[in-house]
Amino acid sequence: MASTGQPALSLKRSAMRDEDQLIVTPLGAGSEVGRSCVHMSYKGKIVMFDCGIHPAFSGMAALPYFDEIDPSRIDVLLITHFHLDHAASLPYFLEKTTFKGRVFMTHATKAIYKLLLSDYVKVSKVSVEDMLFDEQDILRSMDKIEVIDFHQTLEVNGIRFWCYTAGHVLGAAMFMVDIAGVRVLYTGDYSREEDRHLRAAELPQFSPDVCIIESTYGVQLHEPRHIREKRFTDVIHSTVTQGGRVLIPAFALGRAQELLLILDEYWSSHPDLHKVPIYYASPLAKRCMAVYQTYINSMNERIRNQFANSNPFDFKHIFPLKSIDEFNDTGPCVVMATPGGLQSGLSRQLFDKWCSDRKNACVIPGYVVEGTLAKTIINEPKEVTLTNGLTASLNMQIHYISFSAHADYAQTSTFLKELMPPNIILVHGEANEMGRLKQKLLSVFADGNTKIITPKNCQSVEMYFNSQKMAKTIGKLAEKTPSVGETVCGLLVKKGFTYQIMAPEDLHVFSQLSTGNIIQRISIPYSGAFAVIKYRLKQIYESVESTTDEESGVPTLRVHDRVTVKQESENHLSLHWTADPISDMVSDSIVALVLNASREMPKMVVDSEPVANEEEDTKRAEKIIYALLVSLFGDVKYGEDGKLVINVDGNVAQLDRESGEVKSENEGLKERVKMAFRRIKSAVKPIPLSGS
Amino acid sequence: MGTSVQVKPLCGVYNENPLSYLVSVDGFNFLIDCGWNDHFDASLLQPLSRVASTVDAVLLSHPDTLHLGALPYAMKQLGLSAPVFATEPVYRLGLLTMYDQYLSRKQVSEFDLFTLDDIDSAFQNITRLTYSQNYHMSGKGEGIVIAPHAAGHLLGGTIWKITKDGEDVIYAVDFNHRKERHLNGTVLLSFARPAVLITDAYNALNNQASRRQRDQEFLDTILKTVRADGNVLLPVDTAGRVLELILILEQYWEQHQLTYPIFFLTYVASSTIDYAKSFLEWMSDSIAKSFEHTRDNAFLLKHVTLLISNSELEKVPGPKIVLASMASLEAGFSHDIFVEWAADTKNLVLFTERGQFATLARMLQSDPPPRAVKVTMSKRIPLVGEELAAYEEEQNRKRKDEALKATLMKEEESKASLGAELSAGDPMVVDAKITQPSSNAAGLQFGAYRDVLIDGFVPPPSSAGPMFPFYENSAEWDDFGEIINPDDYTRNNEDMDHASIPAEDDLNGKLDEGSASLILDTTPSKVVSSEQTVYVKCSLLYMDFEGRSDGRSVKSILGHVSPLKLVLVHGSAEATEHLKQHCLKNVCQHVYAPQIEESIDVTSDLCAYKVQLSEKLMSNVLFKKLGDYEIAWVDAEVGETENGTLSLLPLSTPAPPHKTVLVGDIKMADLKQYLASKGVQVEFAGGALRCGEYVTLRKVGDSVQKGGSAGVQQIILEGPLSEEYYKIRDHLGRGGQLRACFRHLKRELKYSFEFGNSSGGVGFRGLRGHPEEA
Repeated sequence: MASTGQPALSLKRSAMRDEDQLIVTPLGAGSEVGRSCVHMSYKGKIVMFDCGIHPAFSGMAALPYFDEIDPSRIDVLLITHFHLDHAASLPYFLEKTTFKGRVFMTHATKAIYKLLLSDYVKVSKVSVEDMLFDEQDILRSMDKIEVIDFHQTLEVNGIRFWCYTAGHVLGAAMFMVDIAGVRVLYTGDYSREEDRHLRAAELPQFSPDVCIIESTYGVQLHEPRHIREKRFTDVIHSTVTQGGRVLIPAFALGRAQELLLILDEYWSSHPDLHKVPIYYASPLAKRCMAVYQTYINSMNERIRNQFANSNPFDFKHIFPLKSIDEFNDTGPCVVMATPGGLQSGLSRQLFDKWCSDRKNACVIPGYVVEGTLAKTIINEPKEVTLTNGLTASLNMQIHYISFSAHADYAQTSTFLKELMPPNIILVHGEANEMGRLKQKLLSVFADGNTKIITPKNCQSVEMYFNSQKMAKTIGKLAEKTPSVGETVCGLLVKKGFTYQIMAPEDLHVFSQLSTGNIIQRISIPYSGAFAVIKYRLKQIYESVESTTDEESGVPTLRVHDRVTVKQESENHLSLHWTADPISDMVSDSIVALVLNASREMPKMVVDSEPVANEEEDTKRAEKIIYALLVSLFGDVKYGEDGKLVINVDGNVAQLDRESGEVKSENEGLKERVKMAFRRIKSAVKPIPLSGS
Repeated sequence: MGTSVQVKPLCGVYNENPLSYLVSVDGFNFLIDCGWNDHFDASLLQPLSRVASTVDAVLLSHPDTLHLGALPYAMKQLGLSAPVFATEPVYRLGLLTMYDQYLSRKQVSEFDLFTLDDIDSAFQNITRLTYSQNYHMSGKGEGIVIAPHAAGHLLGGTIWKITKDGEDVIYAVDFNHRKERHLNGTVLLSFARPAVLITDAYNALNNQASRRQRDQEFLDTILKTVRADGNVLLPVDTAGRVLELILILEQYWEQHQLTYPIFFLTYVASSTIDYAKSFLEWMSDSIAKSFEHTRDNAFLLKHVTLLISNSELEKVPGPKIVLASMASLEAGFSHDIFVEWAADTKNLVLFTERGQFATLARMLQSDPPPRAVKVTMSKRIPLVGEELAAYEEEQNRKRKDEALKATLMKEEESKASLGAELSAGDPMVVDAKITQPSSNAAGLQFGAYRDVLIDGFVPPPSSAGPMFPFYENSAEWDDFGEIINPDDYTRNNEDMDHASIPAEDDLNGKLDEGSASLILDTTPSKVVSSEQTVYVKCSLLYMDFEGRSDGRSVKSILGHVSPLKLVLVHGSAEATEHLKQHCLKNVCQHVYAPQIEESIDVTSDLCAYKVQLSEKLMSNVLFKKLGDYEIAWVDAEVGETENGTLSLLPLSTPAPPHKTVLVGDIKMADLKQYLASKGVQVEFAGGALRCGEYVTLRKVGDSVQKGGSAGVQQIILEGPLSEEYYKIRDHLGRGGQLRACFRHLKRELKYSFEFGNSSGGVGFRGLRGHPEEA
């Protein structure tokens, strides 16, 4: 046991050092935008944040680098919000990998996740073998996803986590993870600006040790909300009053709801516009409306107050539009249509129809992806190519008004300044933009106590946290607070990352565990005289008491107060004892002795040797100690005043055999001699005498 | 010593009165619940009034009158001003409940205990929390963490957990462990061994039939009545249990395509359902799941019509089912409908909860029910003729008075400020002036003046004679002229918000329009009352849909939670005494059932101190994993760190011997299975496990018996000296470790039995630190 303990121990030592290391590895969104996925391990616990796909790629190429990790070891997977680049590889990860941990997202995210991904599966035009997952996988994943409410604290395998409002979109969350007192904040996409329906991202109550933060907008600054809203409504108002049509190409979920709220409110307060219809053409968004109408409590105070009167998502001036065939294009109107990039679909059909008329306008309300028509027209070219291949002159007015709900530089820097995390890891940002942000932040946190890291995908960030373990001593053990130098012995009980020290008797009080013991009773055939056994035992053991059993009146012997030997009948002895290593050992020896005694019965050899006296005992023990020390240290001599002088390579240690005290210049030697002596002593006298 | 905890009931012990308890944790006073009954009996609040000003925080558990009804009154009249904590549904539905109470009362009496404004202002400052949100108190309560957890009784219903220094005080009243249509069961069972548990004995003597059976009976009874052309009245609460009833009816109607009309009639019916629709995340898993998959909101009601006034009901002919508030029949629509329908034998009044003490509902629930009851019919009618003239005159006079007072006060104010400035050294003069007018209680208007007065009281820094205010132009200048603050010129964001929100009336529009108009129109009116006797001919029935755990379950839950100390409140005297006796025997030795205003000390006698575990010690500790726990034996020496905290260091002397500790809960059945898997013949015989021919295993002492000195179990292994004996002993763990899985409290726990090796030599004693490195 002791010999096999050594390598295990050294292994454990290094393991413990590794445990103190917190490793963060982006598997996606490291110096890029898209496929957010960040892997984190600390103290043997593994948490993964987000599980997105890269919208620019398809099939396996769009996935984060899952090959780099062992999915089966992940304890918890936390999804911040429903956007594809944060949640869309989840069905794949849950259904096609060895992942067996638990997944959490907020209520609203879960409800929209299903709709959004089902839609994604339907519209993505990739070959069957490139499909990462199908509708069935999504449905199955729904059963595995658990929900968490904002601020609700959950604990899984000792990992505590809770989430804060992140702004951005409905249900978006920032996760705070606490493992053994080290806190990591993962913001996901967040916005610190309150808008019409969403709350601004909260400032966490506690400062995290590590902050993994998005950097989409880098060092850019947003236009104030009321200015861009005014621009937005002004453009639309003037266009429709001049008889024009307004096209708003938008992504189905997220910002679109915000724009609809703005429009609906604007129309309510401008009765002159009531004759101009607003259409909203997105079947998906229509389906999601029920979700928006339900999770009012995830939204801001303003919406909730309005809700007291009527549901603000029951739009009064906005009508759904199923397809262009239904659309009666007779006069001024406002149409919000998907997709946001004008690649195809309804928004493109309307664009083709309206682009040549200078009375019309197109408002692009958010971030547009490189390579789409929307991106092209922002530069206002003279001509555009229509879907049918013809070119047409671009006469309609193009407005780019960004309603993107990501934090800008001002928000990011104030957020970080408030939190003052010692470690900042930037993710979810284009490499150059991220670099600029890093430089600017470094100048903000110029004191040098803040580390800012911008890892690439699969590049691990390693941090050490010197964790101090505190334990609470409770119950009987704590009746008196000990002073320095006293000893404390008890059970150390660890649950999660909290430690308690208690007496074994208290275990069932403070935990759900209970203690027990095993009583062994064995009967041995023996037909000889009981006195023989007693005599023999006295030869071996120092403490043998003979009594008689109170119930049956048979003679009994009690050896070292541990094992009771009882003469049950003429032919049987019984032994009983409470199991523990020493008693087991004693009882075994007694069994052997009894067996021997009955075998040697006829001989009746009387050992002439008198009972060894104490002096001889001590002498013998001393001899053994000396011999063992010599075998360990080599040069051992008897010094004056009875001390043993041990000389190892010129280092001398003096050992007092009585007290076990060691004197030596060399600390290392002193410790070793001390330990060796202690072990030798416990080997020479393995059974502690009762009372000693 | 542990955290000091005192509990002092203010209302609702040894009876079924409203709930209100003062719990102080290390001197921080929590008022948990602030209930009132349907009579609004101010004498019940006497104890509260004595301590209201010392309360540091108010925690609300359920959105009904019994748990929060007195909040507006206490805030306004009793000097309660502490911050209030509740879950979002408790806040919203509680608010609606209070509106409904007020409007019902106002219809039939000159109700003046509190107004709608008082309700609003009381609820305005509630801090809303979500389930299992750990809220860290600040200031005086530093170090205290409060967290609401699901109680299962009403939507948003809360079990409060107050934690300080790792010790939990749990307040759990009216919980329900059963999962229902719209709610999950309580999570109370997940708390093990709290220091203090405060719970109710309300249901200690009641046992329920199974839910399925009850639901069926409920529906059958209702259908039987309507099929026989009778009407069914269900007196319900405003926004609590009624949600479950509505779902039961709605689902059954949907399944069976029934057409009998169902009405939900309270002053706030439509708001209630609107809010219920938006609280899906607080409801049961099945409701959340069905919404996630199909986006069908369970509270989009197809068969239940929401009404906010009685008149619409009268238009509907034929048999109908009406759920109307109040459950007590003391006021509200249920009262009026009862009076109207009681005389017809075909009708049925179905109570779904026990009526409050001394209410009409309680009277009708008695056995046998009374033949006739006296009720007071009251009605609010507009003033006409002379009365109107008198009223107007009165109003005019009041207006004049007020105007006069206002001018007087203005004068006083100027005098006061003058006085203050002149006699800054003698604030008493000013004080007198402040207190004097306050006795006329001119209401709101006066408040404004008082502010001014207090302002005036601040002695000016430089004592000079009275003068007109003079503002120094303090604008700063730089090289470019006056510094401009860009904020002054930016347009306020809120401007446009206001444009969109319809003009807010006094009620913030939280009321349904119809009902608001009843009360808020300024037509002078008065209440006319008449007493009349109603002969109760209709059938009366009580079925328990209260959604509380029944007596048996409560007992077993308490046994599971097994708090170190237990405080019993709320429940009839018999029930309280019964549960107390039961718990003393089976749960724990410290069971308290305090009287009103009797402050009991439930400070745990637990001793504790904190130590730091040094790296050196921890590197030598080998943990054994047992389920959620990891356990090791430590022998350590106490040292001190630089910052003065105690730390544990490895021993420098040999560890003292200690008894082997065997940890775990052994189930004989599991042991049998284990041994059988090892090829040993095992069978149960006479309570013992016979292994093979001769060896028996017996278990003595039961670990389930908590709280007592028991908790130690013994396994006795008996047999003759034989190969078998040693084989079984080996299996039990000789010469190494046995790891066997035993089930414990339904959780898979791993227990290791360790007997160490018996080879002598280096002492290895059971669970102990690893042999030190040489």
